[in-house]
Amino acid sequence: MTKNFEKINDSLIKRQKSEKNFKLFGLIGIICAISFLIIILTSIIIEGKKAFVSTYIKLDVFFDSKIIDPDNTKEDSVIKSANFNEIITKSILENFPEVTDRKEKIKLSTFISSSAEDELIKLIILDKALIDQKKELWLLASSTIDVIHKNPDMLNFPEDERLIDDKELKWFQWFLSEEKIKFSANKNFFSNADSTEPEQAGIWGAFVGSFLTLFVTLILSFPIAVAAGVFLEELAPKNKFTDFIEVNINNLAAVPSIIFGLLGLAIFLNVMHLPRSAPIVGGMVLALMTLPTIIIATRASLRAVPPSIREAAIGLGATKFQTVTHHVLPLSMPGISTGTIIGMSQALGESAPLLMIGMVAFIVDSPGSIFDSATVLPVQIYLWKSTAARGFVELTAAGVMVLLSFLVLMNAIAVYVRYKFEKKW
Amino acid sequence: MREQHIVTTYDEDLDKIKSDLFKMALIVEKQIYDSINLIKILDIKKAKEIIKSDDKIDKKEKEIRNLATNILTKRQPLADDLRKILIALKISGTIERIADHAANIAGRMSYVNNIPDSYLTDSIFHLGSLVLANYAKAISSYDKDSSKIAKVVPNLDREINSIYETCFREHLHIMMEDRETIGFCTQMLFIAKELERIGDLSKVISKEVLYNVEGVLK
Amino acid sequence: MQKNKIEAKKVSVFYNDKKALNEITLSIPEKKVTSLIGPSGCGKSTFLRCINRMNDTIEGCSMTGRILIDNKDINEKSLDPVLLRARVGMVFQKPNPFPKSIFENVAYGPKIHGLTQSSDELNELVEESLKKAGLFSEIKDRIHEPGTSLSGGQQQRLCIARAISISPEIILMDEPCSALDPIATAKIEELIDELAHNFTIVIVTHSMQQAARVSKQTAFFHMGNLIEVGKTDSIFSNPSEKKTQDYITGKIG
Repeated sequence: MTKNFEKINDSLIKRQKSEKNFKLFGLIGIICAISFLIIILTSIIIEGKKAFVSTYIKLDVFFDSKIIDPDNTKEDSVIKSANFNEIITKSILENFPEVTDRKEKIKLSTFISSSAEDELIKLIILDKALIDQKKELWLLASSTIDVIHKNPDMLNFPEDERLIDDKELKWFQWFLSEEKIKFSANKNFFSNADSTEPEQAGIWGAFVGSFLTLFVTLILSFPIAVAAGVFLEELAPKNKFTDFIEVNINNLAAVPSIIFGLLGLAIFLNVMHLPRSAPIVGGMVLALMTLPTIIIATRASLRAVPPSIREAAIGLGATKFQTVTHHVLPLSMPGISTGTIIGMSQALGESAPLLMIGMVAFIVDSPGSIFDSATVLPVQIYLWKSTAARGFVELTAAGVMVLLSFLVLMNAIAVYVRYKFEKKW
Repeated sequence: MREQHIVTTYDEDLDKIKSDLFKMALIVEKQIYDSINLIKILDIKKAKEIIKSDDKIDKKEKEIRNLATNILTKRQPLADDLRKILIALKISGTIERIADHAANIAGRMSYVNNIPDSYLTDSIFHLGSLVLANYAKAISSYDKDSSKIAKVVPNLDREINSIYETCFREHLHIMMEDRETIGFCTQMLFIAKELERIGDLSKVISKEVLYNVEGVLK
Repeated sequence: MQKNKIEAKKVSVFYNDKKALNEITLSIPEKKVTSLIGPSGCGKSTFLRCINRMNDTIEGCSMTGRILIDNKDINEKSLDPVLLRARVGMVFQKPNPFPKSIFENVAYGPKIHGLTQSSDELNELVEESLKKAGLFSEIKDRIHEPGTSLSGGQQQRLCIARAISISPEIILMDEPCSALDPIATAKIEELIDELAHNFTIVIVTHSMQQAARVSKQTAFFHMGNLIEVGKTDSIFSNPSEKKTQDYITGKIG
């Protein structure tokens, strides 16, 4: 008795020590993971948050009727074809009467983004009374100015290393000192599609593309996968053939996603001649990829429904179909939904198979339907990342932030659905 | 070899109730023997002892009843186990009453001052020895769970009854011939009645044993 | 003479190649309680599940021999098991109410079989079933609360109410009290006594005392064989077979 006690007591110190070590290793692992996550997130956020604001320059704009509508037609078409660039150039030159050189004038005019012209056109069309009036307006600065403004330490760089020459720098500093330059919310980012100009590029087009693609994916994969899962789990006899199918479904879940892209290219585009770059094809490819995930989730949650419920229903004289649709499926729905949402968020983050079917195209308009050309969030990020212009760096990070937010949101919904609707047994 | 219960303490409980009851039965056998002997050799001290030891039997009976109650609540016995407990309850009560009768004999003998010289009948001893033998058969049938032995007991009891009749008539004769003996013989008649009762109760024990072995009440 | 509701004739059941029941021949009297006892795995539940063809749902399970209910073979091809199960209700070992309201639980059977025309009729039927199961007075204020919120004993009585809602002729009970405390068990047993006036009840139980209390007839199964069947009173006081004796006195598992 006492002998055992001593033996156990001796070994206890050793055991506790190894337990402590084990805990320590675990803790170190978690700390490493968390710190990496924090580093990645902070670098993305620091970089990306800049994309959510853009630089605006204040100008006294004179809407000269001679330039806009010399014949006083007040026609929208006339206004639209007017040379607003000249109006902007004039307004900006007003601030610098000393600039006379034509080259310098052009340089000055590039302070303002080309999209400002469209802004002015819209303004005039809405309110024609503005013609021949002077109005103080904040106009979107060009990407170059935006970058300089966002990175003030660039001002101290030697001339050939910064994006603007000394003269431009002088003008820029004048705007700064006159407080005629400011940051404001970047509306373009959330409302525009892609653009060659960083200050005009937005995530909206890719977001709509992703939405439409996922919509197609969901509509296709959810019913097919649930039906397949229910059939395999509840109705199919257990034999070699169903075993074979089961093994293949599990294998399918492990197939690299690019293979699905190749399949989509070969069948949907080359054989079925569906439109290239369209959400319908992207959705079909992603649906193929998501199917095994949802089937596996469906079968797992069907299996988790206690057999006593099935017995109760069958014992009452319910048919197999009634048992499944009245009891088993509703009970496994939280699990199936969770699996579906996780499958969807996988599909949302997927880019490789979509590259294969041409969803990597440069698309300036938001897609209006699932047959229009579109791109999706991860592909958009990839596109921006591979573009050289300095302004796209921030956009890339901002795009990642948007994508991550949606992934977090979808997973949060999955967790919520599981806790909210799960029946305790 | 007997089949064992899965719960060994169950077997122990059943064994204990049986051995306790059998021990009690043996003590009572001794009491009957002693009280019959009193008729031969009058011994007031011994008579008092027998009367006193009846309390011990009462206590034993209570112990057995408690044990039986305990087994009933703990094990909820069924079939032969249940019958074992049921007959143990009945037999212990019966033996307790037999002990009472033995004590009564001793009590009667303690009123007797002396055995008259003219008293010569052997029939009461004969009755006593037969009753004792039958009781011994009854309790041994219980000890051995033997229906064979138990079936002998009622036959012997019939014999006892006829001897009791003989004994009764003999004592009437003695009393008629010698009025001096009336007091003594009356006691003897009561004693004969007590013995006859013990015989009847032995038959009750044998019936219980038969019920236990055969499973049906006859 | 007592009429027999169920007649099993040489019923054998196989799980794949394993024989689970060996030529059981057993008559079950109408509107009486028959209990099936025996050690675990002796085939008593298997036999019970033959009566409403619950074994059909188990893969690899096959049956030979005949089971007659009211002199009709239940395994006849023309008889749909759904129809059979509407006549032969079942109560399971673990209370298994649907994760729905108490009302929905009881109303489910009548609904799928289309037994009622109007919702008033359905309400009445549900109330009546709950009353018959002795549950109505306890839960009448919370009939729309989930059935799973009830206590174990109440859940089991809910399951009984659900079973009798479609007015079966036979109720099979597979160890209905094994998950319940003694008070809840007593209530179920009281209910079984009550139900025996109108239903033929077959109950599988591991409690010898329960079998002795609730049933008129008892059948003892061992290793897939029917060892002994007879009046409950005589089985428990004086069984004729040694195996029965050994089982009920706790000498064999």
